[in-house]
Amino acid sequence: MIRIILWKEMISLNKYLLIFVLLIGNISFAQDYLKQQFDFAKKLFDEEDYYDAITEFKRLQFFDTSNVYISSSDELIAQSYKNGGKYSDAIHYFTLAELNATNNDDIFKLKIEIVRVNILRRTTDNALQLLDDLEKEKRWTDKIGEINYWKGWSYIFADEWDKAAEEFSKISPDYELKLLCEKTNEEKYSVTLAKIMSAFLPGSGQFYTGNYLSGFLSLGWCALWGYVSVNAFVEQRVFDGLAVANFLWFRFYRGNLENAEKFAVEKNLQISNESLKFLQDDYKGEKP
Amino acid sequence: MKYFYIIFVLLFFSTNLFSQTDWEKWGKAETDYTIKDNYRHRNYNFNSDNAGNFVVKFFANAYWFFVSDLDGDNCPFRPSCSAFFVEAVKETNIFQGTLMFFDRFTRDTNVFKEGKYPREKSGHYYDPSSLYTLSGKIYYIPVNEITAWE
Amino acid sequence: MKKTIFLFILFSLTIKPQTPNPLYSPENVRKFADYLFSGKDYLRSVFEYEKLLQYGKNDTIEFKIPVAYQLMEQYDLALQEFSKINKESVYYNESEREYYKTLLLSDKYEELQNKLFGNEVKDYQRLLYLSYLFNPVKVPDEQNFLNIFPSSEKRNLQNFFDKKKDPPYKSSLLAGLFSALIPGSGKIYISEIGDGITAFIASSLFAFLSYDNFRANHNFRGWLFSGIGFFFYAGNIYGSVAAAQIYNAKVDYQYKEKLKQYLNDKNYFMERNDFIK
Repeated sequence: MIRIILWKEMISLNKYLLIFVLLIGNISFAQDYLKQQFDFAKKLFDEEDYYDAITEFKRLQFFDTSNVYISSSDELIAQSYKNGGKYSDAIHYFTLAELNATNNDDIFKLKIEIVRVNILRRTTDNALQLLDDLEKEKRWTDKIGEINYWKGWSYIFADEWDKAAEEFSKISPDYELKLLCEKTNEEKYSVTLAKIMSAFLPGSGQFYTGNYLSGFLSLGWCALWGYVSVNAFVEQRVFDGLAVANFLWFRFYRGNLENAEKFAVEKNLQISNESLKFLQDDYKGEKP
Repeated sequence: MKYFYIIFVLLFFSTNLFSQTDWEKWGKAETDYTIKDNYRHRNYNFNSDNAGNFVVKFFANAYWFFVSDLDGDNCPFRPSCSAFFVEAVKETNIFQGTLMFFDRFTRDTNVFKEGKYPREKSGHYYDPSSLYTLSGKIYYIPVNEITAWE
Repeated sequence: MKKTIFLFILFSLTIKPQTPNPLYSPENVRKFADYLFSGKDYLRSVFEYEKLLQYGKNDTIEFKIPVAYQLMEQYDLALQEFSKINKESVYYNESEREYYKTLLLSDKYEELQNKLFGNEVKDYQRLLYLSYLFNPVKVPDEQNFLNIFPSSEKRNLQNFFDKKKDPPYKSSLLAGLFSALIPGSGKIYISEIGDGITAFIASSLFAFLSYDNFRANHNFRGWLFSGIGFFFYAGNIYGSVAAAQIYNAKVDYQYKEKLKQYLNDKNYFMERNDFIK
């Protein structure tokens, strides 16, 4: 009798155990489906099929009612938009990911991602502002090296190579990027000097930047109309002198100043773009 | 407070602003670090349909090389008056092109241009010769639009 | 007992789901597609809806796909999909209305007019008459036109109707004649006052220079200035004619933009369907 009672109790206990175990199993199966979906979306992302990856991450988010994957999926959606050149959308999703981030390391990583997208988008003022805010916060004092690194990149994209060199020098005095920025800055022409040279001697600013033919032609025109104008004044043909001086000599003189500036700026852009091309194609370190 | 603003902005803009990017399927974009300049780059080639256009282009190139490229960027329009003349002759004929050029030159001397022409990216007024051919087919661009030329 | 528990646990852990991922079940794909549609992520919603059609016909989905294309302004695809909806569909009447509305949105006025000419259904008549405001084959009778629209909108439509019937164009011929008589006056007639004044000054200046040089027996300069003066004068006439054409193009453009804005706000006098309320 006692054996029968014990046996009945065991069966009912096992029954509850079975239900409990199957329930646990069900819950883990649901998590499996979401994990499967995450892995599938990640696979599309790794294959660079970004549009479809975003679709699958959005599907994951729609069904992930417990928000287990919310931050990681937002981050990968943002990365997809970034790789597709859709920078505003990327910033939007990085911000969402940051809001759902659970620890300081993730928060910092996502803030830096937003900085990087701002750099690529050439809204470098925003990037520098964000980095300044990070620098002021006490919880990121151990990340100061990384902050300086991205400040340097911001200045590179803002075409301020001297400031970029300064930021990289805070990491190390012989840092590779610091040396590159210094070299780029040294190679650049001084726009102010070119304009001043051309102000004193028309065409000399163009000679300074290597545009000899343009400089020679500017000098020739200014000399010609200057002579004609002075000659008119000497012969007391004041109206003629004023007309030639204003409509001809001054026009070519002003053009000479514009060209001195333009050629210096163009040459500087060329120098900057050579360095930027190197950074884009050959630099092995972390890039925006 | 900062997070309140972030959430407010995100909620306000999220459904409308960001979905339109994805109304066309897109793929990986090539990143380009280089900086583009905003200066005008002349087209010095001599490609022409006939001898007349070649002669016009020859004189235009000579003018650009010896005079226009040296006296500064004085024309507030794009295309510039000389480029307008070349385009006008190409689209019509030498006589009609000349009349279009003199009309353009007159409009250039009018200092009150603000609010009459759409702007081009570099800030110059966009005034193509196609509007003045009297063909009746005018692609009107409103004044407040920024266009891309070149 | 312990053995039983152990076996149960082992059994449950080793079972892998044999069924496909339920996130891709038709119900869940439908929920996700509707969510994308309501969030204006229309292209993604179209891709999801198209997956569902593989499971079988669905009138709502077949209607939502072209509506999504229409909202994305991909009118050719919208027209293609609307025309696939057959008479058995619950949304056949709505799709027909949206089809004609899409013709109007995509500026295919002649096609719309050919298809709807003589149609007595009120909604279609409205679309037909609205198309006449953009591109009249013949301008309809004013009272017939206004009577099919709500009385609260008659004033606005009357304005558009009047502007279409009698647009505030400037005459190219008059502009040219004015400029031939008085240089620059044609441009002033077009309301280009600054251009008119400069044209007048340029033509007068060279005419004067030519006269002055001939008077002083400077024949070469006289002919030079008269030649330049002639081109300024002729250019001023040409420019006045061209300016009138541009003015008229501007009138057309502004009229069309205002009309499109107004009709968009009124949803082309059609009931908005439930999906995009």
